[in-house]
Amino acid sequence: VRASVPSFFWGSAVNETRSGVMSSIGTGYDQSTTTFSPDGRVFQVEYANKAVDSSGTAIGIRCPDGVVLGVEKQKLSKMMVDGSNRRVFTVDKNSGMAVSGLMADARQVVNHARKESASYSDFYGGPIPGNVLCDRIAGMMHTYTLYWYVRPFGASVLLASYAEEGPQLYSVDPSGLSYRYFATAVGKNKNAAKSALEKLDLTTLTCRAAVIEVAKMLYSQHDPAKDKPLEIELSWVCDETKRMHQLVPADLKAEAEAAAKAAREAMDED
Amino acid sequence: MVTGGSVIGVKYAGGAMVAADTLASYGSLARYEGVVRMAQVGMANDTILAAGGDHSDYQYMLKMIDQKATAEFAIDDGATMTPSSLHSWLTRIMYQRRSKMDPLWNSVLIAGFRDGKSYLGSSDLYGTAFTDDFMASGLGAHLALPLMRKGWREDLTEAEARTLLEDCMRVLFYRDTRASAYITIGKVDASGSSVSEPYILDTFWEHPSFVSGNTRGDGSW
Repeated sequence: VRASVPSFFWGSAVNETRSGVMSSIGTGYDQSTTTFSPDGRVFQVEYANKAVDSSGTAIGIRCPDGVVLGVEKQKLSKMMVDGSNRRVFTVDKNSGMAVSGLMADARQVVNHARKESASYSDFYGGPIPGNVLCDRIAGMMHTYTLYWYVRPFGASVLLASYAEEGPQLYSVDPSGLSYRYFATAVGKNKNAAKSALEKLDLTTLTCRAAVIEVAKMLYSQHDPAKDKPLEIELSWVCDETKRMHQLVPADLKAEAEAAAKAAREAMDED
Repeated sequence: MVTGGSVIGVKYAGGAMVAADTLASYGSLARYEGVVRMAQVGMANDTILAAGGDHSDYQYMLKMIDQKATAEFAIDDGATMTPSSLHSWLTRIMYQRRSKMDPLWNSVLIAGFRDGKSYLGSSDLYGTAFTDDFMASGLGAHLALPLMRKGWREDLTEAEARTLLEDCMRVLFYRDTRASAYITIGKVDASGSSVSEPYILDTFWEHPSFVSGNTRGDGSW
């Protein structure tokens, strides 16, 4: 519940996270991304993160033989065609992105990443390394937190790359911070996903097995009673795909979803 | 300017095939050997681009096409560039460049196979485009086309198409002073596209007048 007192002179808001644990009053310091609060926070960026935290979960796992990405999509309407409203995007031949947050903002980040990859290949004659691509995306997202005439991107992206440097997974958030991960999640159920990820043995997990684990996590966090119908997107870039980023083949996706549904039923019975 | 020579191609039953030698000349100097003048293009593995003329312009074309193919791969919406749309796009670019008096100095052949049908088209530095059952550029247009007109049938098998192309390339090696005997063959059919490794053509030099010379003693034959 957000109790907001709209006011022209000070756009104050009392903020509570979903759990209601932390509340912060951004009175007077949250109107512009170029304003710090007295305790050193940039509220606009924090609010952008809230857009991410209320959006569908995205999970990424880096395996020795590649990287796997998955997102939960909520089907807002039965009229929507399956496979539309993509949330996992291919950026370059060897890299892809799963996004969480405001989709319009996320798509701009993806477009920028595509342009950076293309210009890098054009200039350097090879695929853009994951860390370079990550830095460029992070730099752009950070730039949009520096000027009052733009707003921060309300999206976090998980970047999967399998170029010459091997499989890499990065996460970039609206502040422009980026980290490299073995496995991570963003979005509304990220905490549950992260605890499930910590239980995996990432030194031996193959991409095929990781796809199934991601599906299980996405299904287990979804409550068929309360949430809208679930659709998931799974993608990978691995040895099996010859390091090309693409959605997982239909048979593997079916296998993953079947395993996920079975795991959820087994959990429900407990 | 480093240039490639003739490129020839045929459609056969179930596919299309192109052949070119592996020489990149520097005027009359046979400068670079082992140069493959054809490549698989696009992400659908069903198109081959082969080019004669300026080799750097050909390399630039491959780069441009690869950028387009990568963008198409990234969008991932099910649409892929067909051989004929690639031909059309490339022709437009070549025409636009010629209209700026800055041509891509090539004659290209595009061989493809999509939706069960083979495709063979050509474009040149002026932006003139044709499609046909068999085509040749450069000196091949003069030497190889007559042989292909005699030897081509709609139901050519792959082996027959290969023999026809090899025979034409052999004649080109004999008669075109800027050709080499090492060739590559690019093939595209329902199972995909491939470019062979360079290999040498068998040639025959034991003609009596080559062996025993002539009685006139003046080198003529």
